[in-house]
Amino acid sequence: MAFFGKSNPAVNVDAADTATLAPGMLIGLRNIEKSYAHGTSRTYVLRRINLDVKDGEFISIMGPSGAGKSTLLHIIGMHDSAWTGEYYFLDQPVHKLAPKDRARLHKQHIGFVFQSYHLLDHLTVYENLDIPLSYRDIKKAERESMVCDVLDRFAIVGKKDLYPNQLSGGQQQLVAVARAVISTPKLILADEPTGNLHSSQGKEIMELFRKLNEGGTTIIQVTHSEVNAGYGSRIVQLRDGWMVNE
Amino acid sequence: MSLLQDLRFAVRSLMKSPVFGAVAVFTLALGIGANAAIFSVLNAVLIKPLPYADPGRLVMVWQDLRARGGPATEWTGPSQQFDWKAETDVFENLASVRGWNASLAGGDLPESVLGEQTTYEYFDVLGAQPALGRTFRGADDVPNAPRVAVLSHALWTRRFGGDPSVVGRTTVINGESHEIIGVMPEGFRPVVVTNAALWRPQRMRPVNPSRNTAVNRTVGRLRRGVSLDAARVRLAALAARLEQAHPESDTKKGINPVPLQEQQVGAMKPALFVLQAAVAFVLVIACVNIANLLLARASARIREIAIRRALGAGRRRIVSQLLTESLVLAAAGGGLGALIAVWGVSALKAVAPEGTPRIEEVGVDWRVLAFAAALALATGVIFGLVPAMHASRDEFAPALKQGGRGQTGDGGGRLRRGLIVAELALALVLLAGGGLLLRTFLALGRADLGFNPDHVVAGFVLPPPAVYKDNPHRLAFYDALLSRAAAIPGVASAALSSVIPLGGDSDTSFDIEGRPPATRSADALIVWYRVVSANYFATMEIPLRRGRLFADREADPSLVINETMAKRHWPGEDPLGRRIRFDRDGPWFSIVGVVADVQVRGARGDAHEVEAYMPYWHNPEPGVNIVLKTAIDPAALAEPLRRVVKEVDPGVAVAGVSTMNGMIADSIVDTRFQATLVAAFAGLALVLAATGLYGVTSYAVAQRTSEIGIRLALGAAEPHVFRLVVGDALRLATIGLMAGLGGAIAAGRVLEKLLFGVTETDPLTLGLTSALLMLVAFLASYVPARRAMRIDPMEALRIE
Ligand SMILES: Nc1ncnc2c1ncn2[C@@H]1O[C@H](COP(=O)(O)OP(=O)(O)O)[C@@H](O)[C@H]1O
Ligand SMILES: [Mg+2]
Repeated sequence: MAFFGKSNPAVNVDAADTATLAPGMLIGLRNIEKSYAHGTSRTYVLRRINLDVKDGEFISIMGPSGAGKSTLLHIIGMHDSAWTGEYYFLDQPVHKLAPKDRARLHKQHIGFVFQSYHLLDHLTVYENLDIPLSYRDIKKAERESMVCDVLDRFAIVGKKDLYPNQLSGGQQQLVAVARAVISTPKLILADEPTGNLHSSQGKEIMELFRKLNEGGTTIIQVTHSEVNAGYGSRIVQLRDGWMVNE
Repeated sequence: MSLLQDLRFAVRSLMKSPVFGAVAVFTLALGIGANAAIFSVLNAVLIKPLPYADPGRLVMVWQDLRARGGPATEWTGPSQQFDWKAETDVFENLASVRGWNASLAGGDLPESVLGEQTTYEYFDVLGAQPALGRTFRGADDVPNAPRVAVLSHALWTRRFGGDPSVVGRTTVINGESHEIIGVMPEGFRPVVVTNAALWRPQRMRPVNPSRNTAVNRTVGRLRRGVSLDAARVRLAALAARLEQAHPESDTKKGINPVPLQEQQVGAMKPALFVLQAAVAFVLVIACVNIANLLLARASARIREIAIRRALGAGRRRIVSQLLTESLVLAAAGGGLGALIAVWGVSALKAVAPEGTPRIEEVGVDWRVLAFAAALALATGVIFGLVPAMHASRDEFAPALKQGGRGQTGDGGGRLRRGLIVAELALALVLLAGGGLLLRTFLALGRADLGFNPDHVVAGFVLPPPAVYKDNPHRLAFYDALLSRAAAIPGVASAALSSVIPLGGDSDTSFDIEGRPPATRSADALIVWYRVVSANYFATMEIPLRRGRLFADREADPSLVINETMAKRHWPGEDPLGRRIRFDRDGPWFSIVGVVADVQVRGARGDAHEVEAYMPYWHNPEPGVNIVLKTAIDPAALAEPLRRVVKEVDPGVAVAGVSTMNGMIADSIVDTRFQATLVAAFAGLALVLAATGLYGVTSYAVAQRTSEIGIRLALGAAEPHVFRLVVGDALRLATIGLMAGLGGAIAAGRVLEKLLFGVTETDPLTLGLTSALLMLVAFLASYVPARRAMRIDPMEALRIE
């Protein structure tokens, strides 16, 4: 799947890095490692992670608390750049990208959903949905129609002028998911999206994810729930920073 | 008991956050120190009594010529001294004084010093005793009395080595022998020539004194129990009697007593009040900063306070504890502020313009210390009360529930932001004021005074009247001086003039040929006249408008007048060929030319006076300025000029050698001083306001860390975050700017009297200072914004 140029030894080293993903692949992680320095010693949080994600997959990451699930999600989400190894996203070697290009890639293709929703308290539902668009050089009129469209799709038109603290937890997470998909990302990353919700509310979110996935969006979620993991097509187990049985 | 406990708590809690304590104390000390320093000037100049015995009874007494269109404070002559002194139910005593250019013979070069020539009552009026010997008696002050002189302490130590045996010795002054009869003590303060080094009696003729000369200034001591108003009434009656007795000279002449203190320092009042207001602004800003620090601290301690309240502490108890803390801060700030004031006072004295009245008396005395203490107390209460009230609000339960997670009520944030807006507005008011004064200073320095001051140096030469008794002698001296001066290497042209710009002036009355002469002095025509050499106009580059200049040595009495005189007395007519005379027994002078007006009194003076120039060979005045136009650095010619004068007569010194540009700079040094101080305070205010804005912005960034993390996770790039933080700061700055512009325009109106060549709403000044404010606001938010950009979304979001 990788192309190795051999004609010119001087290009050889670089050429190895220009490897791209095979068609139909969205993500390739090679030997990803992450560690924190504590004085003179080093604690590894992720060890030799190798993971390929196909375009359109729905993956659940599971494992005990402290296993490194969130850390891995943030690396895939390109919030974190302090790691070693190779990370390919579509045709781009993320590990080689300048911060600016990495940010562009992240902006263009990735949406994020958090366990505690992380809506901005002092903004209305409408304004919260508008934030990601405002960072993507989209004209105001177009943004308006996009926000209205999403409000419609998620059936929250009536809530658009409310503030987050006027909504139930499930409604807040609904808005957060809406916010994650509004810029039509290829990939949605969700870190324990139902952790703070009742099971009925959690189910609603999972149904939503399934619909999005059926529409072609790749989803990687962190979850503790076997039921939720069942919505996905594959489970990745993490223990103490290691991937087990993948 | 609880007070002592509060105090102990306060000190301990401040010790626990030393950076906060240090910043607060230092900020406050700057504010209090600057205020105390300026107050010490105000105190010395306006509040402290003058250093004379019973100074409240001392008045300057002037001729009031307003009824005839003249000044309210015209100088006096011999007749006024005698007539007014005789009014013993008003004055206990009265003396007249005029300046004295004294050349002290001996040494390498004769030394020129300033002194006062007084009537014998001078020291008695002031209640001043000599340190050595005696002062004047009546017998010293009659025509032809033997010459006696009294020395200042400074001259005595410098020139006579502080030798007590000088009393009784003679010394040659202006070519005449004087017996030294006394030495004044160190602190003695002359009334007219503040740096006078010696005194001698005027020896005026008491019989038939001249009624129209105005050569003196007169100082009187009111009789005990006579109020200023009572004195005015009685002096008005005296003026009426004198008008009846001498209608030809005394018609429409009033008598105007002015308290000596008011006279000496009254002119400084507006500038001093402006300065005091400026530093008051600085202090307010300092207080706002500290209030903000305390608010932030109170927010951080909201949980501690909530726990205390839950344990039963009443609201008053909490307020009193927080207030004690701010009072401890205030006390420390006040103490350090007093030290800063001491330092500030010596800095002020070092940069104050020479001749600033009473500047040598400025110091930190008990009044200044009391002022600083009062400020500290007041500011401690004010900046402490707001946060204390805020922190002790009644709903403390939420703070407990939140687990003290650095969450503040938004009210605190809003209050802090409001305070910052006020700070920025005040800073802008100061900046604009400083800017206006600086522009005034620049405009004054650049003002066209009607001549070219570049490469001109001048000095005053007084051939002693005792030696050069008549016109031919003086003429010979001036001729010799002029030709030698012209020969100094580097001199392009040398000229003489009895009056030069910014160097004093003299007027006289005149008649116009063919018009009825005035019969009363009140109706006399007045002209400011100068006696000049033919090339004075070329030397000073004063342009000729009509006719011609003097031909050298022309025998016919001719005259050059200025444009104002031509317009005033020959409106619509040709003044050339007209004749006037200054003396009813003297010759008629023909007007041969008209030159452009010169602003002799500087840019701020009345521009248009009636002026006439006559050739020096027709009337060699006693005393003349020698003016050199140079091809080289004019300052380098001061020394050769002194040498040349010595060559002509070893007993004559040159007084006040100075470049024309130097004189112009000296004439506007007050404005420079004001502008520098206000600008310095404005700078201080701006730094403090910027610190405040920085604090609020940093705090906001810290509070919004998770919000910024979310935004980054949602795709915000660094510029978005940067704009978020800086935009917020600039929004505050813009509100401050708007409020400040309003304040600046209002303050400009107060400043109006001090301004020149710039309007109080000057768009350039307001524009530049606004831009500066915004720039500083940007810089103040830049660092927190950079910090916000570096926020790691992972860290920020890890709270769950
Ligand atoms: N800034 C940090 N410094 C040191 N260790 C950290 C830091 N952040 C996270 N860790 C550690 O990394 C490990 C993985 O954390 P995380 O990815 O949040 O686990 P999970 O999401 O699986 O519960 C944990 O042991 C955590 O303590
Ligand atoms: Mg986690």
